[in-house]
Amino acid sequence: MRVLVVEDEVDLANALNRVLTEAHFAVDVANDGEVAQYMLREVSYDAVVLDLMVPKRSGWALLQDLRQSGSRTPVLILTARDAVDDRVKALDLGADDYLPKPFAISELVARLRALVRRSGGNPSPVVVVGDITIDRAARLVYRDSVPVELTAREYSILELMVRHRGTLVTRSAICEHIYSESSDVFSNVIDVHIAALRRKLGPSVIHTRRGQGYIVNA
Amino acid sequence: MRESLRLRLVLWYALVLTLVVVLYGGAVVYQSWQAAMEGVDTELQRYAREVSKALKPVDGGRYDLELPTDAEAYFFRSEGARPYYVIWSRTGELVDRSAPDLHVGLKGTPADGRREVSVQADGGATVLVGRDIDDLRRERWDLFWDVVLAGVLTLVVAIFGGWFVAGRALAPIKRISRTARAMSAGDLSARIAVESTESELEQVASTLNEAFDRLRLAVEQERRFMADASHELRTPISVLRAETEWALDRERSPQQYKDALAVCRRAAHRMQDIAERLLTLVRAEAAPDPEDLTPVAMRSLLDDVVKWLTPMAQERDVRLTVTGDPFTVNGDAEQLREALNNVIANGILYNKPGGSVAISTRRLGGTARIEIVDTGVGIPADAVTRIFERFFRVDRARSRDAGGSGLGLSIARTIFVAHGGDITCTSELGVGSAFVISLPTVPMPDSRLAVAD
Repeated sequence: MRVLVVEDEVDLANALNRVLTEAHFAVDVANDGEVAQYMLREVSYDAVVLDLMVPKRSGWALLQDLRQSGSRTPVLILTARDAVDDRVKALDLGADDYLPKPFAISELVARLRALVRRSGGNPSPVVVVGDITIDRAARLVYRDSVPVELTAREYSILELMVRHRGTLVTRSAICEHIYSESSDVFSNVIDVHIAALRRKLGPSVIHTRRGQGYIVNA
Repeated sequence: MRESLRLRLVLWYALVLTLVVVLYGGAVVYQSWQAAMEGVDTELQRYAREVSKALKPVDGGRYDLELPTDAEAYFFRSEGARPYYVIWSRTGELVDRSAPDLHVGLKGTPADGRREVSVQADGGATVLVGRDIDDLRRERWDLFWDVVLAGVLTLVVAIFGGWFVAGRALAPIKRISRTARAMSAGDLSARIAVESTESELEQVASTLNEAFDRLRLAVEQERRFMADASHELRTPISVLRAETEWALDRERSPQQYKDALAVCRRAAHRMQDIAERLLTLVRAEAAPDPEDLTPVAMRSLLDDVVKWLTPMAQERDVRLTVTGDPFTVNGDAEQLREALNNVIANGILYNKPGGSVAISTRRLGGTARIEIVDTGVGIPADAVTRIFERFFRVDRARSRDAGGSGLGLSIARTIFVAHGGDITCTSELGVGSAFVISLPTVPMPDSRLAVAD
């Protein structure tokens, strides 16, 4: 799950980066509105954590532009402004959630996960694909009720595929959603992860479309 | 309370009116009685003269009396007043009288209920003419009761009218107290309905409404200040929480703990800075105690501030200059130092390398002007009016990098205003800003007095 954190307070941005990375998000940080706007245009994020009071281009304007461009990326507003008017205004501009500072990081992580699940069309944390059960809250996978050991990357790819069940997911899309800007990846790494997933989950979960990508059937 | 005011108004009114009615009524009764008595006297005198004219002395001290017809008719055929005459000779012997059974003395006052007039006739005779005045007395009493009745009626009408008028005049007080109650219950938007601006009370209502407007504005400013202050503190608190929650989430390396603690220390410093500035602002807002004011030599204070800020200016390659007249202000030296420091430091921080901050002073009668002109980045036109607002920053990121809290200029302004002065700003983007401070001056203190510095 790739997240953009728009926060001008460097210490806070760093802390969020660390926290979310440990929660297995691929995190990009933008310290001002202009950088954020550029990144939002370039990358398809699974979620955005947005401070309203960022320099150069305000969070309000970023949110408005994002929705006007037709993006459905979930946006969580993280701000020191906690007046009801601000919350209402942000939600009415198209924000999906609103968390006033100061906040508990566990809550932020849980809210982000919930936002991403909802954006995939299924808010339930538990998803069943054939004999595979995926608990997206605990990040655990079972095959016939037996826990399956997956690496963080393997889990992230599986989660992404399951979220986009029934649609083709290209290799580059997987790269985009699994790795942050700061990681260097070669797309054949994806093939390696997919092969490992097939081995652990059985061949019937993830299907390959030659030359196009992968799909988990609905 | 309003009813008792109304009652007191009406009671005073009634008292004064009663006094007027009694005096006036008394005067009317008295005057009409006087007029009636004059009329009686005139009448009696006329007939007395007629009688004395008709009196002819004959020999041997005797008199002959031949009354004219009208006098005859007056004395013998009048109804009610029953006039009479009595004539005495020069020696005091009774000559003639019209009513034999009447007891009348030559001298002395007439009997009760009668009025008499006597004249001297030819030959030394005395003619006394008199009449009953009972009918006039009855008329006087009739008039008296008429006046009493009219007075009572007037009073009753006037008191009811007064009650009504007083009620109407005091009606705005009811509106005012109702509004004041709503305000004290927390509804700061309540306003007194002003129906006209003619009466004094309506004017009071208008004045109160204006005061309420100001009160509301002040409360709103206070509310916004509290919101801003908590907003400012939220960011470092968020850093503290996120950092500590991350560090405690699992076992970390010593370096990671060190880094986390360093971040926490920075957040704590920032919170301390905000708290201290808030405190300064609150202290500056409390009007200075006149006892604490001392004459402050502003020129040497300015030199001091500039000396203090010179290292910072040199670091940024900004030149500081001070020119102009010395002057003295009655004030709190520490507060004035803080205020000047904030404004000048602002000019240094938002400057360009090679730029300058020129400080000049000028005395204009009872006030002095301090101009602080920088060659800095300037302030956008829409922000110039807001730079003295608390927590307002033109460029948030730049301000924070420079260590600004958005309170410095607000503190400065508060201090200058508390000293009876003001500060204004004009600016041009890319050219620089000019801050003009005005302060009331006092005469230079005697050189023997210690100059608070």
